[in-house]
Parts: sequence; C-alpha cells; structure tokens
Amino acid sequence: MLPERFRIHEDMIFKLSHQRSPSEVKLKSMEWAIVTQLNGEKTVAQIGEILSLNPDETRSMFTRLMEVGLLELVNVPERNPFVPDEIFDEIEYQLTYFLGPVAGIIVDDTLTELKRNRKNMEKKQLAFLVELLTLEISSVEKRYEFQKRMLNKIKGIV
Amino acid sequence: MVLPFFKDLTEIAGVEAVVLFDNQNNIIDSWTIPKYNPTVFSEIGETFLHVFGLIEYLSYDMEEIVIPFDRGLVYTRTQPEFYLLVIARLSVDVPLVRLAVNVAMEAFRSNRKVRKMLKKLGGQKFYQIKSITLDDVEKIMLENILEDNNAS
Repeated sequence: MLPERFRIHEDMIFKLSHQRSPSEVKLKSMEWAIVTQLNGEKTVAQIGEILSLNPDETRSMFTRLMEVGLLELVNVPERNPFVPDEIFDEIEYQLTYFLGPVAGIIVDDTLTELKRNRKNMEKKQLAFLVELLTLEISSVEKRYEFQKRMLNKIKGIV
Repeated sequence: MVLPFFKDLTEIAGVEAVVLFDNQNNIIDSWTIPKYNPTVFSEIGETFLHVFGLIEYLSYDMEEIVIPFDRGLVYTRTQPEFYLLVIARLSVDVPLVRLAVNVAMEAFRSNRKVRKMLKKLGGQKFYQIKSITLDDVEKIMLENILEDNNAS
C-alpha cells in the first residue's frame, strides 16, 4: 500500500519539480513523454488520455515519477468530490414538473447508464447528468426552463 | 453585453475569456480574466468563422465546436447572426459550459434590445470567408468540399 503522499488521483495536477532534473533520473520513454506534458494545468487523467495510456499505466508511471522526486503537486483533489444527496431530490422534483411521476425512474436509469448512483455521483459529472436528463424533455421551452433551474441549483456545487 | 447575459458562464472555474463576434468577425463584446491578451481573439475568431461559414453553407446540423489544445480549450457556439467563443483551461467542465451557454443564449436572444441589435447584424458567414486568409491547403480543401457538395 502506497503512502497517501504517493497516491495518484486522476484529477491531480502536477508540474515539474525544481528540486530535481529529469536528466538525473533514468526514465523510460513513456515516462519522458509524461514529463514533456507536465505544465501545471493538465490533470493526470488528461495526460493519460493524450498519451493513450490506460488509468492503471498512467497511475503507475506518475507514482514512479513522484517517487523519484520529479513531480510537484499543483492542486490537491477535493476531499469530498461527491454530490450531496439532497441535490437528487431537487433534480427529481424539478424533472417531475416537466416529465411527471416517471422522473425518479429516469434519474436513476440515467445514473445507472453513467455507472453511478445517488451516493457516488461525482460533482464534475453533475452538469453532464443534467444534460442527459434534459434530452428526455421533448419541448424546447421546457428544456430551457429545466436547464435554467438546474444551473441555478448546481452552479454553487460544481 | 457579455457580462449582463453570460455572467454564469464567466464564473465557471477555468473560463478565461468569452467573446461575441458578428458574422464579419468583428467583436461585439468580450470579457476576459485580468492579464489576458485579447489581441488574439480576431485571429481565433476568423478560424471559426471559416468553419461555421462552411457548416452553414453545407446546411450541416451543427452549432457547437469544442477543440482542446495543449494549454487550453476553445468552446464555440454559432447562431445565425453571430457566434460565441469561450476560451478556458483544459480542466473546465464542458457540460457545465454548455449548460450555461444554453441558458444564457436563450435569455440573450429574447432580450428586446438584443433582438433589435441582432436585426441589424446580418450577412451569411460563408460569404465572409476571404480567400486571402486561406492558405493553399485550405483553398484546395474548400474547393473539394464544395465540389463534392455540388455533385451530390
């Protein structure tokens, strides 16, 4: 088990450390590729995506770079990245206004499509959830009204 | 004009600039974070004028383009009389940007003063593409696309 300081999360952002130069360390070609992508803005997940690495490969390479002291953490991911329960009650309430009593089922079905539930939905996916739910509303005017209400609710959360 | 209608958009973490262009690539209004160099807007705007112009000419059902770059992301949305450009960090929540644009655009378009202003704006985007601004490859690609379109 890695100590917490070496545990890599996909939304962490790193830059190259001033303490050590990459030339002092023997790096594999893909580790070099990661080093060239570090700019203090891209997240671990984004760099992995750019380099076509899977999440495990990305994590292990970042862990190694961290261990050899080449990385400096720019941001720490939020401690609680999950959406509070009550927001789903609000979403369901608003959606019921436009879709009727099936709203709760649609919310849960959409969460299942995202491989999430009301307990483990991350804040960064909330706007996407609203976008998917909006597609269930056929009237353009009602879609707008739902999005407007949802934006007001979620802008303080995400 | 950007701030009164697109305030929610400007407040999204990672959004650095919001620019409204007319179909002649003139800036109607813009908002940026401090220390941002706005001189690049016209150049970026022109690129999207070309793309949206072609989309409009070919009657494609596409009103949004999102392009990630090495150091940021450009989100654009076209409307018949103008287009909107958002420059943001790569970490920005794109669905949230889309949501904020959807909401703001509706309020913007339904405002009486804005409607009056939009009436004065005009000109199809495609006819604003100046051949002088295209390089040889772009010219050939454009000719080929138009030929294919005419043939079909």
